[in-house]
Amino acid sequence: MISERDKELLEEWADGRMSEAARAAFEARFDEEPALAEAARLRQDMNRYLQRREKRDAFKARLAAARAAHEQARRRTHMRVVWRRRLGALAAVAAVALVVVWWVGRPDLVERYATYPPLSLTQRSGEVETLALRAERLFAERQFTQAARVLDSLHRMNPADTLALLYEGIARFEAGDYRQAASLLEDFPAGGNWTTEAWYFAALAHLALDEKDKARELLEKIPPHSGRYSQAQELLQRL
Amino acid sequence: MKNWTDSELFDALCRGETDALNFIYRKFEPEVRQWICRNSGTPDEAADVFQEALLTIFDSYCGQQRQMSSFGGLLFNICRNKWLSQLRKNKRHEVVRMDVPERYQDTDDDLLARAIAAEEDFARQEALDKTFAMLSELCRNLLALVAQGLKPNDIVERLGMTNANAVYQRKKACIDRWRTLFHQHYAQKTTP
Repeated sequence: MISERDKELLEEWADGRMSEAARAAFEARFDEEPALAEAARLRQDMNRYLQRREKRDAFKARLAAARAAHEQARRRTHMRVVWRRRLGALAAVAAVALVVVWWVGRPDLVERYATYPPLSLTQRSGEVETLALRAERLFAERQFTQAARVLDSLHRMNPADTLALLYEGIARFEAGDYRQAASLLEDFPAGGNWTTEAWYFAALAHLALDEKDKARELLEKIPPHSGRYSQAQELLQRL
Repeated sequence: MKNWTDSELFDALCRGETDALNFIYRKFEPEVRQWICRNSGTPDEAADVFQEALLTIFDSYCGQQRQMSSFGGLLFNICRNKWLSQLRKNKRHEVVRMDVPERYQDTDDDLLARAIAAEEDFARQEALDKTFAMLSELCRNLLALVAQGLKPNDIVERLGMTNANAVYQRKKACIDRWRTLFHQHYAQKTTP
């Protein structure tokens, strides 16, 4: 606490109403009297506050405006990022949906075009053999894996029997062993009785394996006089 | 975007230049926000601290003969001190990551001391601001007119007082009242 007299002196000092000598004498007391020194410091701060009050208020208003502008810009950037992410997610979902649709639709395409006459080895070869009969029965009963094995045996016994080889390929195809089916059928020699049929099913096997280029290449080899030509062309258009 | 030197930034901030304030926000606010959010704060709390830190620099540096230092370093240190004292005040004892962005790991050893001194200036100016608002309308008008440099006789006329002596007496009484309010307010603020 400072005395009433010191408060009066402090006002004279703060207003600059003291003589040089009185001012020096008053300030000399600050070192010895901390309460007076603190009061003088506060009085100076008061003057500084009063002189800058309006500027300080104006500065506060400008700060608030700068903050608002910055936060608005930040929100805009944030929203852009959010929307970019949302659109990215949407695109990803759409891509997945497309893949799913394609994936689900793909077997239909393969199945729709995978048609063939019933296997009739005995009729075509003119031989009545136990093995051939067994192959026909298994094929007709859609036991394709076993049928393929029997057909493989038949083909090994008579390598010229390309019909057995063709149907072995088809049996592999029907059993879902597309790789083996494609491998058996795509190398059928050109010009044979069953060549275009083999290429056609080899193409379907590649299609099932999602090897479109290879499928396209085989379908394009099917000549216009072939019974499979129109189906091959349709498939090519779809591809 | 203009490249501002430290001293240009101090000067422009003191003049309240919009371009400078926008630049300061763009350049320094994200780093402060990130630090405060990593230390238990929210983006809104970070924005409050940042705004108050700029006012602190205004209170402590503008119109004062103070040695300039790194603007960004000083600002970051002020923000950090403010946030730490808020955590202490609210008794939030979360772990605080004391790591400071590399560019503020300044060679200036006095930076922290400057930030503390600036914070004290700001606290005093805030206390003066709040307690000034508690004075009577007559006191506020009288002190404002004195600060504008009006002669006592002019003030007598403006405020309808009796004479110059009455102006001095009233001013002393207003200052007294203000001092008392300040001590009450500031003591509350600074008592742990």
